[in-house]
Amino acid sequence: MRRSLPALLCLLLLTTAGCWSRVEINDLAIVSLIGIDRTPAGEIELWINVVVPARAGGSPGAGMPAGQQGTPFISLNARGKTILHAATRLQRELPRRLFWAHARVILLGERLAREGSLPAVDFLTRHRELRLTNYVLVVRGSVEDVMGVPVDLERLPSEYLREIERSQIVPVSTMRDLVQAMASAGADPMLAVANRAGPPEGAPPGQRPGVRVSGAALFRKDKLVEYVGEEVAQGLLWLRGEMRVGVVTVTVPGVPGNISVELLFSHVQRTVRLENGRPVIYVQVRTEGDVAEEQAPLDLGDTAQLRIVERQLRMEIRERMERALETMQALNADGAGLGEEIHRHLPAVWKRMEKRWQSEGFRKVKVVISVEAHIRRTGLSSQPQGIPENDLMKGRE
Amino acid sequence: MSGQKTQINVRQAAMLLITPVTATGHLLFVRIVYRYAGKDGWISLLLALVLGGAGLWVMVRLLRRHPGKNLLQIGEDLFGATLGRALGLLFVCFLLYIGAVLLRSFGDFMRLVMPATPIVVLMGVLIGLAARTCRKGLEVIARANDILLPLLIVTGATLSMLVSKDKEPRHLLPILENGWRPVWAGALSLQGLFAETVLLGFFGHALGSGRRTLPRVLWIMAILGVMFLGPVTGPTTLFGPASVRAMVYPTWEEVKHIQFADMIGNLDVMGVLLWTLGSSVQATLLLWGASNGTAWLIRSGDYRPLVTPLAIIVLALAVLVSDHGGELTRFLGAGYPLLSITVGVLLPLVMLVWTEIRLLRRG
Amino acid sequence: MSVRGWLRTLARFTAPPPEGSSQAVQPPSAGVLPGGSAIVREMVEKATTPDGARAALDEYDQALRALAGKGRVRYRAGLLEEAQQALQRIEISPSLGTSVKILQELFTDCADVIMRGMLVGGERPAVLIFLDGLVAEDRLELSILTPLTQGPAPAGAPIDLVKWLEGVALAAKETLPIQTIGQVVEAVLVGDSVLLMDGVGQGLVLSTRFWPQRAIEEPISEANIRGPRDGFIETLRTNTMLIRRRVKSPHMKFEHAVIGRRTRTDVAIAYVKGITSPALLAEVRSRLGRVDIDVLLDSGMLEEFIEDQPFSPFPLMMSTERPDRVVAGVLSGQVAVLVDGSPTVLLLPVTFWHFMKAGEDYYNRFWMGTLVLWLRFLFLILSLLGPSLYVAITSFHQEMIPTNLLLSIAAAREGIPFPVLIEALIMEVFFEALREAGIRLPRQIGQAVSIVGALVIGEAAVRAGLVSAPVVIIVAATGIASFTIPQYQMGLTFRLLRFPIMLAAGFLGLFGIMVALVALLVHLCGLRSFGVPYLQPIAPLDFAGLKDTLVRAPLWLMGKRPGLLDTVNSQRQSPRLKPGPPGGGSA
Repeated sequence: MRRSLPALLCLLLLTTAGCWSRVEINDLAIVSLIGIDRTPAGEIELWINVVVPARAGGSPGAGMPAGQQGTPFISLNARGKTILHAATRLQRELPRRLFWAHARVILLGERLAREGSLPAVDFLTRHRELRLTNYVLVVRGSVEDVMGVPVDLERLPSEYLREIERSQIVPVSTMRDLVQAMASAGADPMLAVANRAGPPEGAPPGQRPGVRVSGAALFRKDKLVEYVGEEVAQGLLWLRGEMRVGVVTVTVPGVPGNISVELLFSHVQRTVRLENGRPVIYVQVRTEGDVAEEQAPLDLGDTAQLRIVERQLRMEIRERMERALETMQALNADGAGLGEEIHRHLPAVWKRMEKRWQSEGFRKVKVVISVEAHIRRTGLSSQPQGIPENDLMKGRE
Repeated sequence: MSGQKTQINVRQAAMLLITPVTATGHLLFVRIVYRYAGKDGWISLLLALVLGGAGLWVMVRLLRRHPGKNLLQIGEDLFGATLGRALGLLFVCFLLYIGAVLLRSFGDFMRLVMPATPIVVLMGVLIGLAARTCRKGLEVIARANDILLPLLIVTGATLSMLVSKDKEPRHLLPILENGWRPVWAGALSLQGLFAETVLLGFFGHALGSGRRTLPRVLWIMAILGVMFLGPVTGPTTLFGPASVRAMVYPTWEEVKHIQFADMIGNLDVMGVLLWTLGSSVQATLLLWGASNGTAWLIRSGDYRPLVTPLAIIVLALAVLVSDHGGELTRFLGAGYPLLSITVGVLLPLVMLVWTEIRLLRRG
Repeated sequence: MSVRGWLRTLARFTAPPPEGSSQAVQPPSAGVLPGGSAIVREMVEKATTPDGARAALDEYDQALRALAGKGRVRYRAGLLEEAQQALQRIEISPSLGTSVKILQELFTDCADVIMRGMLVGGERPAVLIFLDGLVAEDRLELSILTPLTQGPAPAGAPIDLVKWLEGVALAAKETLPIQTIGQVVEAVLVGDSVLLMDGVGQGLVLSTRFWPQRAIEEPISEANIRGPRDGFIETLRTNTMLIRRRVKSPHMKFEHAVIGRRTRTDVAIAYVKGITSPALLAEVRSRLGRVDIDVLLDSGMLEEFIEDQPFSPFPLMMSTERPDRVVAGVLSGQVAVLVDGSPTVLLLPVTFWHFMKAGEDYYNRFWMGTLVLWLRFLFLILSLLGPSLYVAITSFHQEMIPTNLLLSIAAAREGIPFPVLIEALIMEVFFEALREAGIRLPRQIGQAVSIVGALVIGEAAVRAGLVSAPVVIIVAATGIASFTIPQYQMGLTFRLLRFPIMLAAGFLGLFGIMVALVALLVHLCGLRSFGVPYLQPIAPLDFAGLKDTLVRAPLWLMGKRPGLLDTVNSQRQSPRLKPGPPGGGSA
């Protein structure tokens, strides 16, 4: 008897006091999307999408009126001094406990981002239900524009955004990347941008507005500086060493038509060397791809002609990277974390220039970009089908 | 199968040392190392391994000089009944104190996962389990540990493999950016972790004779080193040195970060699993050590009746130990290394030196 | 004063009540003496019981009363044996009437005892005593009654009548001369016939045992596809035969013991000399020796008296219906305990891992054996933790569920009135009831019950919104999982353990589960079966043992017997038996 006394005591404790932390699933308000913005008055504005399980969860559940139609989520918003303050206000309107663990995407409103997104970050990293793998996007315009928009193919806008981010064709930015870059002296955040892509005014009534993710937002520490377009964003990805797959379209001078190369492998190496007492950053790109589409009359079975395309590919990639670099330096936003690179490899030098990095160091740093690109395969055709043999370019170079 | 006279073999003794160190390490010390040494935590680890290894070597050597006796008996042999008992009391109090600190930090962590549950319940359940296990004797504890430790290691290794695709080793650079001072501070606090090997003194009579001391100690330290290399580098490579500094549970964040192939993810709760396993073994061992020590001090043949009262004491201490997690962290970083080095290294060293002197004088 | 003398004195004070009063109350059938034939009746009327025999009979009677808690003699261990000794002291009288009178008294109201009087060779009175139904009637008539009644009389007076009977008169298979009434009783009760003859101070046991028995069938609880299909039955002798037929070695021993004061059940301890550890054997003997019970009907009853830890939910010895399994066990150093009347044989000591094995594992290819073994481990965990994990995750750790799944579960749970814990408990209990009903009912009805239970109630409960569909799925999966455990007993254990773990999960989530699991593990680590640690060779670790624990290694690799049984002889087979293509080259 004495041996089982502690166990018995525990059991007694448990049975008398009940089960404290237990929450049934149907007592949870599952938050799927969080949007944070700032009001003109300077208050935090919190937007959330709460899932309505009966409408979202596959087949109609038992005991529920079948076929309850409507959007599978509801959008709510509240204002407050802090995010939690606003959340508490929201909680008062909800019969169920807010549950944040399934909010996989976080949207930052443009106003908040421009004025400084630091206040938003703390709650998002401190709360035990939220995680650093959550995707963060900046909304061009107001958060409201994107929050309530129903999407096609996926049940929830958050899933829609998450799947797009996961596919890695747009800049991927998670909470981890955001706080890491914000805290680092030698790097600035870069986030993906979401915006509402409405049908043009007066479009046929069947068409709904949608959400689109495109381009990137460059930050200087926690403040949004500027949006950049797709191609600069891609160049940025190259510079960051995050480019994995993608399509680059090139033209060969003197030859009509475009050639699209699908990149299947990319490797970026960044090194720093001290030259004349100044750090120089070398970014070396090595990439491999297949020709996926060719509208130009080139015979790619011919090695010489293939080399031409390769050269164009190299130039195109380098050009994109250089453009991205120029943009960054012009905006003084180190979205590629080049300063960190100096910090890592030349800590002594970095100590000297750390103070000035933000103000002018980054603007003046020399970056040498070199690209090595190979085309490995040409798909099922070595030359475009349907072109008479005589029209093909031959023996150039 | 009386708990007093049981024998465990050397491998089991070594495994019994590893589990508790692992449990406390993750719960408590990783964050302190990061606080002090940041991304150079792994250097701190290596230094602490040397320190801890030295402490362990001293302990093993001391035990082998007095075969068949535990630390408390040796103390009385060396310093006479009164002083020896006082020393024994110190050791027992040290164990109780570590027990309370561990229990508290476990409670704090569990509070995070289950916010509505009173911390006393969480801690009480764990210490109750430990007390129950403790009374079954060292043999059973060792056997349970034989299963739990590999489970812990395999699970831990799997988790860290799952997250490894997101790790960027370049975050570890530059090495020794801020010089050696913070690294040493980290090492000293980590040494406090390895001071738990003082537990060995309580079941050391099981070590018996056999091969040489040093290789064994090296083995244990090597395993501990491998097991801690992940925790002191992983979060840095994953989150960057700046973010990690702010984290209370860096390794848990690492587990939370796992997102693998869209199927495996959100494994937050694995932290509960691992820490419950580790902490239960550790609490059991500490209770076992404390109750056996107390039994020896009051010259009682049976430690079992002491387990429950001691468990209640530990629980009470854990409730009182701090009202705020940060305070605990600060203490563990600042005051605790002093205590742990004294009890874990210096005292055994003094005892060893005294033993050697006596041997020299005699022969 | 000796115990016996004291008993005798006591016996005088507690003599049976005077006849008249009790006879009026008793039904007419009571007090019927066996042996109604004219010859017997005539000789008994003339006979008197000698004083010595009277006293012994009283002593016996006293002992029996003490067993029932009545009378002035207090029961103590060994009393019954002493009483039986008393019967052994009564010698068979040369006067047939005296012996028969004593036997009649002992067998009063035993309607199945037959005392057949006859005149051997037409002149010498004799009585054949046997139990109706327990003897082979045709054998009795042909080889005993016919030659005795119709054959010639023994010639001349001085010849040894027992020799004459054995050598000339009888055609029985086996004969044995006996001297005391006690021996007569024993022989009759096991189905032999005893011949008593006037003028001979001895009896003759004639082997006539025969009783109807179940045919050897395939074991119900341990069916297999490949491998032998015979199973044990209720007769001890047949069961030992099934084992002996497989082990043709004089080292295969069957030690005999009798357990049960009243049932006098035969128990055999089977082991192989030269393999089984003598210490283990001594332990088994001593544990069986201290079992002093009234009734022993099945080996399961014996199990409870010889366990190491009686409160553990885990079976601490294996019970099996398969002779091949028993043979494999005893040849690896285990001891088997066979109980007459029970088709299950106990194998001991066992470890936890023994219960994960089916006999068939060793007959199929080792890849299959290993994979199936892992499958069982997997489903063992599922059957133990399935519902509790579901409860813990859905009511404490909802973040663990993938979002889409969470939404589906949430949708299914909309409008369910109970917490998940209660929901799961209801379904689990219901499922257990269904299974229990299925076992007890006749097979045809059982099927109907399962259809009603599974389809109608399960489906209807979900439709009515009483329980959610995921819980039904979990419970069903758990149910299936628990059937993959090859040993029924272990399956029962895990069915039982599921409930406390579910409660723990309901109160403390995964933490509760972990605490329960650690407690369970510690319990398992502390368990021993006849001194062998229950989790060996995992804890304590023994690398050599792992190849028959975590995997099923090829048989030619398992050259040694399991180390945990401390066998006398550890080598099982030649060390290099790995087969290969002709010529010895490796494939």
